[in-house]
Amino acid sequence: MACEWVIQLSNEYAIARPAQPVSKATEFESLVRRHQNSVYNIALRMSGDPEEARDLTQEAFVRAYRSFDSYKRGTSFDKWLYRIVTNLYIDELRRRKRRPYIESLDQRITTSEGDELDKEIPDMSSNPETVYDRDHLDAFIQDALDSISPEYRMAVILCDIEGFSYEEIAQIMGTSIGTVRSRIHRGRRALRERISPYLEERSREVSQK
Amino acid sequence: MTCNMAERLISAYIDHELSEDDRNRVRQHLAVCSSCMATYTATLEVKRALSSMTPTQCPECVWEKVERQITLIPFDREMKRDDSTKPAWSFIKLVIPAAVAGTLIVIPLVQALLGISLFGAPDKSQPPIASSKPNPQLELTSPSVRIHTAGTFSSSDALEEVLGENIWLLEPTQASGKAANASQHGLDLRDIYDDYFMQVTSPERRYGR
Repeated sequence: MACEWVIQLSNEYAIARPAQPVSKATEFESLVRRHQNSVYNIALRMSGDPEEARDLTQEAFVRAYRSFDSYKRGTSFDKWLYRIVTNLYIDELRRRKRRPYIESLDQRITTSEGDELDKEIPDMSSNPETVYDRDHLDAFIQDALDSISPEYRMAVILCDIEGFSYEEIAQIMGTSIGTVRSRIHRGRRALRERISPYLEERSREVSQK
Repeated sequence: MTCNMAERLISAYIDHELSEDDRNRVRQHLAVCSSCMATYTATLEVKRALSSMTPTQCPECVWEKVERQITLIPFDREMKRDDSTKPAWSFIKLVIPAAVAGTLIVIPLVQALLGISLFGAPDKSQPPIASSKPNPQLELTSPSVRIHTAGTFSSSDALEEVLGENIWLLEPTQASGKAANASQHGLDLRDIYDDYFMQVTSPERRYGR
């Protein structure tokens, strides 16, 4: 996905590279519009909160604009941007004191659309037509993501949701490939411990149908 | 291959981020180890669950807010920066590096020539502030690998995090010498070798036996 962007972007640059220079603000706006969904998506998966994700996305683009002069035209804009995004999100999420994680079975969880759902595992047998509760699964995975460290979370998000290779993640996170490998291994291990029982329950219910 | 090592490599195996050699070794291990096979399946499900999370759309208002903020950034000043014909900026551009260079060169020079200290003698009673983060420097000179560090590592995770991909270069055959050397620098690697290095690297791997 990221590679396609780069190719698409460089193609458009080749075509759109103007005889008349495009203003900085116009050029920046078109890049923002192209990447805003992805930048917001990463923010949402990192923070788990739509409001916070919107704030982070705005701040990321403002920071990108401030250093837009240092972006070398013709190079990969998305990696340059995601590096800013990564640094900002990890710093901000660490700086803002995380609320203590107190899990309660009664506690309701919020989906990416802001809807509230019960945390308990849905009783598939009571509703045999319900095979796949996407929102609930998303919220459950998000809950698990929130429980791991920001570095691990970012590495896993870039790999599994954004589809970057380890080498690309290393460039984005400003670290070595070995560290990326380690973060993804540890991040997934922690996620596995939280998510696997839930996934097993789901697949058992589906197979019983 | 041990289960410990296989478990560490499963994520990279799933992501196709292993060398052909390691990939074959993991595959062979999975074929005979039901426990690691279960870990592999569970990890794969976690990856699939993450990659199938519903993509989110960035709220439209984000760009409006970004635009409002970046218009407050003095855009004209940024434009002038590119214009080298402006005498004021050209002057500053020359003077600031010259002043920095001058300060860095002249002060030590004067101190050396005159044998005086411009800023008073350093207070030797105060120990230097220790860096909170380990700062190892690897010397990868064959046949010995030495680690110099300003800090200590509380766990193999911490060491792995800092050393990154270099950790794959360390050899068990050099473990004893390295541990002795490391201990002089306040770094006890013995537990880490037992836990990690001996598992991950092997003479066969290095010398192709």
